[in-house]
Amino acid sequence: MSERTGLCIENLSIAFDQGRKVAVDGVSLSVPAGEAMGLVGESGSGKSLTSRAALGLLPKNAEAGGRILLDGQNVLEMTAAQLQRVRGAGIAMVFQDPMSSLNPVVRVGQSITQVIRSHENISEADAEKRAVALMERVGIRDAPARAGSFPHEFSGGMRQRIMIAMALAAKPRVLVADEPTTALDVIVQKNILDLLDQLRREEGMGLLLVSHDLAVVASLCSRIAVMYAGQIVEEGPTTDILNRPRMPYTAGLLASTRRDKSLKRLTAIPGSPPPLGARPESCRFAARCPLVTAACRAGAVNLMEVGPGQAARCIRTADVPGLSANFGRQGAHV
Amino acid sequence: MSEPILRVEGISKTYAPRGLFKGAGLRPALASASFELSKGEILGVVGESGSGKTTLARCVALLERPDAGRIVFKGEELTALSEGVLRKRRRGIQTVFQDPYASLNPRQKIGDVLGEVMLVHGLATREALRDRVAALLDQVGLPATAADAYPKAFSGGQRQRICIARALAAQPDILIADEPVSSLDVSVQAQVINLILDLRDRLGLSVIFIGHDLQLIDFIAPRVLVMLNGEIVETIPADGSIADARHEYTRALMQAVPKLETITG
Repeated sequence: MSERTGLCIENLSIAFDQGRKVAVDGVSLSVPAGEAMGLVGESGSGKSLTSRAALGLLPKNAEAGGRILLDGQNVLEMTAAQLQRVRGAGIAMVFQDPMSSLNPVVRVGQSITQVIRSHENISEADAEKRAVALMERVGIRDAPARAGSFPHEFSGGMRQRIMIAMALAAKPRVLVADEPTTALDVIVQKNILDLLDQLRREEGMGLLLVSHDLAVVASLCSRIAVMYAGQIVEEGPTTDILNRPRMPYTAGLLASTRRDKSLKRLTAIPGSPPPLGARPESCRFAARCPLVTAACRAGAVNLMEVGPGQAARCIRTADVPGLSANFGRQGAHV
Repeated sequence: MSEPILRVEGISKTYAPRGLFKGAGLRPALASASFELSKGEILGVVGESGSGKTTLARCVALLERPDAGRIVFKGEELTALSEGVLRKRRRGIQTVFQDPYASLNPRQKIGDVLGEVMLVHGLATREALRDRVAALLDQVGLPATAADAYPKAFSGGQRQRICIARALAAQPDILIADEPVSSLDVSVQAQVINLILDLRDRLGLSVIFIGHDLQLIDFIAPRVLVMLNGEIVETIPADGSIADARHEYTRALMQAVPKLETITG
């Protein structure tokens, strides 16, 4: 897989306040065509900023460094007109809240038609036919009639399907989905995840799935990157990340999802992530880490290769496999 | 089993439509729900949005009067009481909601939030208040210095601890936790769940734990009610398991949740 096709983020940094607050710090990841990459992190980890940056959607006061290559072209250096062209056909996005992302006074078929016509020179009638076909593609029954409905006439799951249809309208090569199912009930969530997976396979799109939910990401993605306090702290093939995490934070996240009734308590990670502006230069997880040593607090820790295609930001990575089994037993509920 | 602390008998609630769509089809938000809660028991309630689980919570806490049915708390029929008497009884059933950001007054110091509850219910004197507040904060794992800070100084998980402390300040018998961890970061959720389990053990608190995460609820609650369209469609008994769930909907819920176990093998 060459870095020419798909999305390739290189050493991305996003800072606010004249560089005093670095929200995203040296993030690199790639989403090759046809593959699904998962980006996991808690609120404030920088995962949403990273994914929005890929579409050139950064707050006005943000300063970005590094490169975001979309089919070899740097998104960060594009003019507004270039961005407009690349959004939709090159890369498209599905957000968490489909109600606030759709225009409430525009019929959904019309919304999709507008996207198609803004990227292609085709007649209104042809665009409308394509819009209906797209609605059918994302599993909306009775699409010709439903195209005339307004967003409020759909359920949350159906609205998210319409958002996906809009994202697909210009045939993007990469689809970014930022918490696409967080606002949805579990059964609807399953349907949307299945749809995203099917579209990735059939359209050969790259998929960047961003979520706080490790299980959601793992169910769809072949590779996972874990973000903590603005940095990627671990990245690798999904099965390796789940079976053999090499960074204590990943191990802790996995342990906290265990529902073993014999344990009587959940395994918790003590404390909470350091807020923006109070992040240490050294390992950012040190204050919560059960393996912490003086060396962890001594200086910056780099992302290091720990196995085939797997990297972890931890100097005690060799001790992490033994940690997973009893993570957080001590002080579990502090 | 001893006499339950709470007996809910056939409570129903229908919200009357207002305005433009008045007279449109009425569907009860809660239809004839019945269950019992024992002292020290954690009862789970699981359902999707619109299943009536929050209406159930609001009716049991008498924040909302059910249209029909009886709620008997410690032998007294709450649903038969006048508003004035009920106000005094509400102390015994406290609620913690989903969003700790929206549940705290940003201009009130934490110590005042907790102190106010104790003063209103006559549970502490002004002289003893500071110590009592410190003891409460300690109970939920926060330092005594938190009393002098405003909500904005705390993270989501800490705020939810404060909300739990506020509920405990009323010295309730029953804690209703309505999606208490859904808005919290993953790495913090387990802390709050463990706190609720600890409080049950230490204080003998009875808990109604409401949520949408069937696996989580199955972990903390021996007995689980499954709700769908305002009805309790299945009760998973304390000696049963969600794996043996009979109702088609419960099984669908279970299969829909992505599980790490099936991926790790």
